[in-house]
Amino acid sequence: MKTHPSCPEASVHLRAWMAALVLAAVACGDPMLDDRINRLGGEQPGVRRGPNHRPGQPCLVCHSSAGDGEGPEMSVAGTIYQKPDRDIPAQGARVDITDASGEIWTVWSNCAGNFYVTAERWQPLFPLHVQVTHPWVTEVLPMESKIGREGACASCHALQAGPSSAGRVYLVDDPAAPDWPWPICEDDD
Amino acid sequence: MCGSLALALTSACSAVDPEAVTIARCPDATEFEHVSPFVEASCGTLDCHGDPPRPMRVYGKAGLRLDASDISGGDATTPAERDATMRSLCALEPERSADTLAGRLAPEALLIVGKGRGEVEHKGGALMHAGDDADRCMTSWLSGAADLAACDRVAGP
Repeated sequence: MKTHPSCPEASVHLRAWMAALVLAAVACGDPMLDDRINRLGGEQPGVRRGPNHRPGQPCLVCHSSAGDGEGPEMSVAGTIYQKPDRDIPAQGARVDITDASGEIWTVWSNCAGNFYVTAERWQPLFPLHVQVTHPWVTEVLPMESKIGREGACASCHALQAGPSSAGRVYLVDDPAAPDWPWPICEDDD
Repeated sequence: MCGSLALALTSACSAVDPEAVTIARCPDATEFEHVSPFVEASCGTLDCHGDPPRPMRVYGKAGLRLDASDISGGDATTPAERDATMRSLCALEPERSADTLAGRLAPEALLIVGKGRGEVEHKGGALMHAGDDADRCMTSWLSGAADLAACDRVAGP
């Protein structure tokens, strides 16, 4: 590195700052990821950590190679609800995921509405196209847009729809439709 | 000594000659109405260029909305959203885009074409290939005379 000959102290200060920045980077990891994890909050009372926990949250924030290292690494994961404005989980929804190579992977949602594919089992080639079906819904529900790069559905499908969220993934559009029975997760407290 | 040097540099940098400022023109906004559907569908999902922190930001019905009262997946793309998308594309390389518009630089030299073709590192991969409708739509628009028929063929649903 070249420095101005009349500013030797600048070189010393610069090196000290650079050393401090390197140390800070090593010590703190990824502060943006840490912030995303912290903003998810704590666990729901009575729900054990596992496949049923944290419905509606972006699973891959933690369940990825960059995440907190606990639990399985996932490639695609999300939550499906019955209606756009209710938290009733849609258990037993079939999710067909087609990747850019044409490979199709099928998973089913559990009692919390959650579904996931572990990275160990499948690492799809993006973009992905997804469709959802359910025994209680007559039509096939394809996702209108492709998924370009994000495996965590809730990163784009936050619970509340808004200018940067399509809202939760749901199966029944009619708010007057009867509520489905709330599934019981027997392995929770 | 170092302080005065820094001050001198700051003064030199802030003395902008308004006569020397180049206004970088964007390609045609009217033609972009035909280009936008392809850009929205190919680039503008919420997890890609519909993600607000991205320098190239694409707005539209199925992606990021410009108005805080609109929702993703709701009403049709608005003229204001198309305009904001166009300005974002144009602002990626304003001087080079202006050179392309003036015929001094081939559109293939622009980052947006290189990335779109996957010739430059692009997480979204290749979304168009040299000579196909999508490519003709983009490169012709960037050159100042959009191939509207090609754009309409790749407009999507």
